[in-house]
Amino acid sequence: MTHCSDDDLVLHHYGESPEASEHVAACVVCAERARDLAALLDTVDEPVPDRGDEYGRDVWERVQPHLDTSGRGFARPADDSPAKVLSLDAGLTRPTPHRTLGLTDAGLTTPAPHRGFRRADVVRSASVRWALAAAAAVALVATSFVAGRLSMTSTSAPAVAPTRTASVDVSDPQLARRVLLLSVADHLERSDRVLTDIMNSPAADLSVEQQWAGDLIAANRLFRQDAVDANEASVANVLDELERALLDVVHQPSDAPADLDQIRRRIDSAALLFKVRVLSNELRQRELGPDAPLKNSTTPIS
Amino acid sequence: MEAGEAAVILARARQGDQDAFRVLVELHAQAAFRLAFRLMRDERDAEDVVQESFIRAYRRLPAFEARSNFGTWLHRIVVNCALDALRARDGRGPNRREEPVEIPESLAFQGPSPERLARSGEIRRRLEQSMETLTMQERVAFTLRHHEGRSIEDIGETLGIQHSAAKHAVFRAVRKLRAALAPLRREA
Repeated sequence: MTHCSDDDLVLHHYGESPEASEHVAACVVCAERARDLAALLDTVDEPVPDRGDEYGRDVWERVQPHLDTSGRGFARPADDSPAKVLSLDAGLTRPTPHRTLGLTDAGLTTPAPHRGFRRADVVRSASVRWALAAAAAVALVATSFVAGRLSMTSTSAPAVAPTRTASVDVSDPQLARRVLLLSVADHLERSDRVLTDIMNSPAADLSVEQQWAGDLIAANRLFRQDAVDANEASVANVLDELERALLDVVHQPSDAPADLDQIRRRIDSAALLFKVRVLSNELRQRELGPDAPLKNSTTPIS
Repeated sequence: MEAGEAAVILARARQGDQDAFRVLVELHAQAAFRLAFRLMRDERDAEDVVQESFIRAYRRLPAFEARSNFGTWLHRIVVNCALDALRARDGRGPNRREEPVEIPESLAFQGPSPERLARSGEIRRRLEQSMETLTMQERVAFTLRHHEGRSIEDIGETLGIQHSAAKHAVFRAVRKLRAALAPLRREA
């Protein structure tokens, strides 16, 4: 009797070979080998992270801004010529879809090859990319300013600002970059507030902080990608660590204090809050110049 | 959702009705993420693939044949987006998941509970490493066959390769995984 080859057993395992299955049914040796293979392949089954019941809606909120309302394809700028002044609806009334700002698609820097597939059809002109980036960043700063003002009177959370319209002269790429630096610094400050709350909150229920963290993830992702593209390795590294911590927080079960302790230990051991604050100050320094005073960081880390 | 209702939604989406397309997105997002995550083995990359897949699907809906299954069609778009992303990721060089991991030749287990934990962690590490050794074609073929239950024939069509090439891609993937995981199973 000719026994099954390893490949025959693979086909048998996946029900792709009636002949192999017929042999396995009649052969003790091959049946044992088939069980071994099945046990081995069982170890390959890994759980997929749960996205929750609202995931479909979340995806739609990220996808919808990229759909052209007048026809098929990506949303495009109305005018591809270099814009002198752009008016942009920041659209921050919803917490998660920061991509609606157009920062990712606008491309804050020279597009890297790995992002070409996402952006190739979106923006054809480098000047328009910069223009959109600057306008979006200014809008973000403007809304963040309002959010910050609101949060001072109500909560330390990174508040979601109302929809606003911002206008800015975007003909100067240096201006766009400076505004971008401010935007990232502002994002880091909001993340700082959320992480500080998580580290210091006496309650095990962090559902509010989880929501804030969820709001920050999408913005963090696009800032990280742009930092990578801009060869800002130190910025990208901190944003990468920050994103992992935010994901940990968002995915922490609400009834698992042990997991919360673990998250706090990870944040603490990585000195993440310290890194976030240092980077935030550094970016503001770069924007304002070497003579600008460093912002004092007086909030206790834990 | 009944078949008739699904057909109406699909027809409206093909005409550019975004409300109808939203229904399709919400129906298929979970499945798209599961597939994307298994191919990318990274949550953030998987999220990007899901987003890109639905954008591509929207653009190509007019060319979609109404008699086809939307889920199967979207499935192929997700695979293609993941392949693009994997190629791009390979081009970027080592990523954070490719940091070298020390793998001991054998594990000295101290007790039953730590033993199980250590072995489970070791299996995960070996699995991660062995998945990284698969070529893109092997990884996609294995994922589609093992996790998604797709036939070899369907895998060949999805990847645009011959039936025999798809079959051998699965064989090679299983051999590599077996080589990585079998020693641990023997130790257990």
